[in-house]
Amino acid sequence: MSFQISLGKIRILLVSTLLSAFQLSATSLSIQPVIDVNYRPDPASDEGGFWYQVEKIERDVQLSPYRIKDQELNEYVQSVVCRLTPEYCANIRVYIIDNPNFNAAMFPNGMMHIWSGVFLRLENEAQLASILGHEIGHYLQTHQIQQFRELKDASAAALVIDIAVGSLTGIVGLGTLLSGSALAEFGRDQEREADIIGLEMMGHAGYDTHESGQVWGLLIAEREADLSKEERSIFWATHPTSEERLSNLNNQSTLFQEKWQKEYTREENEFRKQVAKIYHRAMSNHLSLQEYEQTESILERHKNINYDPALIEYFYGELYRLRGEPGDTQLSISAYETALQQQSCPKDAHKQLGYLYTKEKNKKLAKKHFGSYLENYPEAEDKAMIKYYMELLN
Amino acid sequence: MQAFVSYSKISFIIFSLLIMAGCASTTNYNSVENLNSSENANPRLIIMPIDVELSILGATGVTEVQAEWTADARGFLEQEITDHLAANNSDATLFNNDVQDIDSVQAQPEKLHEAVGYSILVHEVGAVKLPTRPKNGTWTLGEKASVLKEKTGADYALFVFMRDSYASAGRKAMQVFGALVGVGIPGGTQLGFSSLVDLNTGDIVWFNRLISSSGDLREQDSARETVANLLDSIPSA
Repeated sequence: MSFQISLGKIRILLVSTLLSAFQLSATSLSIQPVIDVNYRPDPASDEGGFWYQVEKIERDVQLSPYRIKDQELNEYVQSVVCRLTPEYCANIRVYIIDNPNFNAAMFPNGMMHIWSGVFLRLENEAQLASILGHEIGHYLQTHQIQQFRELKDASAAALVIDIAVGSLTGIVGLGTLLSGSALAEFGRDQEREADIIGLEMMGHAGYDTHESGQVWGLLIAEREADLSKEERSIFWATHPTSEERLSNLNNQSTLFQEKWQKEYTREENEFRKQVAKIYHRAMSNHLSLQEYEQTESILERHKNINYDPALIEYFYGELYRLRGEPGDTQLSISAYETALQQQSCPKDAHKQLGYLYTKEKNKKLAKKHFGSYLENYPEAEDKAMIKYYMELLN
Repeated sequence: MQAFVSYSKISFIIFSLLIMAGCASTTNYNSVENLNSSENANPRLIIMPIDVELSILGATGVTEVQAEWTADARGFLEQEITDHLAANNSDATLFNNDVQDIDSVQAQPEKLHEAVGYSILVHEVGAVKLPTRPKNGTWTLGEKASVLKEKTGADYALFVFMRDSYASAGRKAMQVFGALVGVGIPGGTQLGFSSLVDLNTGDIVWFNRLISSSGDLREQDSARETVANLLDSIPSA
């Protein structure tokens, strides 16, 4: 698959002709898939039992209230999967889960979960493709059943050790403890493999592979802003550290683009248009995590992407209001006022301003904003409460 | 997104109920003596999709679902339940609650029954009583359960839940090893319940729990015995 020809120009010519032949085929991956299209395991096997349990989870997810069902958004994400892997696309089903943390999961039967927190952090379709490609990598290499079997074997071995050591010395649990780190190392190797496959897939599909490392850069910046997190020991971590991933992905990206030269794209517009549809829901949920440094880092980045500035200011208002540190009341008021200058600002900003101005003892503005709130929501559930406040302010 | 009734919860129930080896015991709860119908005909009954899982009990005590055994057991249970009810002159049919529209209410009674059935198992017929619950309080899925009556015309719905596990060779070896060092290691246990819901009110009018350390749902004859135990006190029309 790699051709060592010393004359530079001839090498580029050969590579680009080969490229058009292999463009979107999985056979151009340096790590070949281990399953065929439409693979199903033998129901009598351990893998069959594993798939049975996963299929049960899938039925639950289909009916779950935590599933984001917006049809256009789902179709959009599925279309990126199909661009990455036209052959396996029909076997992969993406579900978007309403959870504002950054996570994605792949299951052995082709079900993929992407959490809404992913959409809050990414900037373009190429970055989405890197996440999807990584998960597809796990699927193509059947990492999950391997982990499952490793876990079984390791815990069986651990239990024998536990019983034997326990009956001799009275120390219980030693075997299980030792098996934990071995499992974590195995998991990290699988993660590295998935990163490689994901990068190659996205590159072959025409996405700029440099965006893959970008994702980890974004997450590192967010984590650094977060004062509450402790250092995680690599010994126990099931994923390579973000720094290690960033560096590996950047190296691989450079090598890949040297080898396969063509026009690479990032595709921003459609991605941002689709994310805008769940922006309010996802950001509201992120605020309820009370991880205010993270929220702030996310909103900062959103200013550079053209999400609705009224919504961004509105969420700054919400952030400062909920954070409640000294000076935050003023910051919050200022953000809501800015947001309200635009039509698209959620009108419950008026209610929040009403409460904040009341706190600041500015009766005139408090009443004005409570009044605006009731004008916009004449049948609000809390209208009695707001009216009561308005009377108190007289 | 885990299965609502996980193996660890089942173990808790079993060990808190002090099983005696080799016997099948049933305990029930009911609030009606007879079934009745809103029309003058015989009461109609639908058999909801059977919630059965058969697992291999591995050496370490971890269970893994065996998909082929589960599919076989589901077939046997469906047949034996239908036969048993027919022999008792009940008008009962299997109902495949296949919901196409994910936003519809039709899927909800089945999901809710998972939670309510578990609660009855642990708190009504089980050992962990709820101290503030009124005596003879009702267990119910609520009136929205009547969506199933609208769909099928039935007056009652029968829910059946079975979990069973069978020791693997590795588990048996572990039992021998354990015996050598003086550690007792249990084998597989069968736990099930059957529950009858009045579709007009959503109330659970009859509930029967079965626990056994014998019985093999991979065999049709054994499944027949299990069903006989499960349905032994069901109210008749």
